Amino acid sequence: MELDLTVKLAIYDHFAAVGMRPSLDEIAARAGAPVPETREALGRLRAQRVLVLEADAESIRMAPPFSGIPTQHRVTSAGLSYYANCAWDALGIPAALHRPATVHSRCEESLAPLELAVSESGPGTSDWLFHCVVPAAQWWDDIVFT
Amino acid sequence: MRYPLRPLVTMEQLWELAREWYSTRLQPDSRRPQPAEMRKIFGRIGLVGEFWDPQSDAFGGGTAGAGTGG
Repeated sequence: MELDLTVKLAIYDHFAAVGMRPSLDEIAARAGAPVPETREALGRLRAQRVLVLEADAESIRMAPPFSGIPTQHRVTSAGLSYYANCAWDALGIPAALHRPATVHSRCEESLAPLELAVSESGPGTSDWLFHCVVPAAQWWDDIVFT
Repeated sequence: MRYPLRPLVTMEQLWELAREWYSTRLQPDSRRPQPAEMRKIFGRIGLVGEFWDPQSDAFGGGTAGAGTGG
């Protein structure tokens, strides 16, 4: 459905431009669509696993790689600050934006703060490791935990 | 909290995953990898085995196979 794509792009454009999640009203305004129809589109996008919504069915919890709420994975780029859902998504933000960024996170073993510069061609040489706890077949059983 | 040790992914591999999943995410024609594509992507960068199989039931089944990751 055309509206779903328009709403999806409105959400991602807002995240990219602002760094934070848009409200339902902001999505509707950016999409040029009425609020009730925009809300229905959010439900369809959630069903397609494009988004994860809060319990109110309209606040964006995740629009991967962006997180709608603060997390331990912060990404800065071009003077803006973003939150990622996980370490994978922290690299996904510069990959999506196609511009250099710095990932601010932490080591889950030592809890030491981590800072990783990422250019348009990826992070520099690093001996850091990503540990994925949940098998791929179960990622969407609880995508927030994953 | 401690979790069971699972496969480890290097930053080079993680960047490849990030690119595959998200490099077109802001574009109108973006789409997420489907299970067969996921398997190919994982295999190409050396992430193999049941853990990375989006349709494996080796860990008790799941729902990723019906949709996508990320």
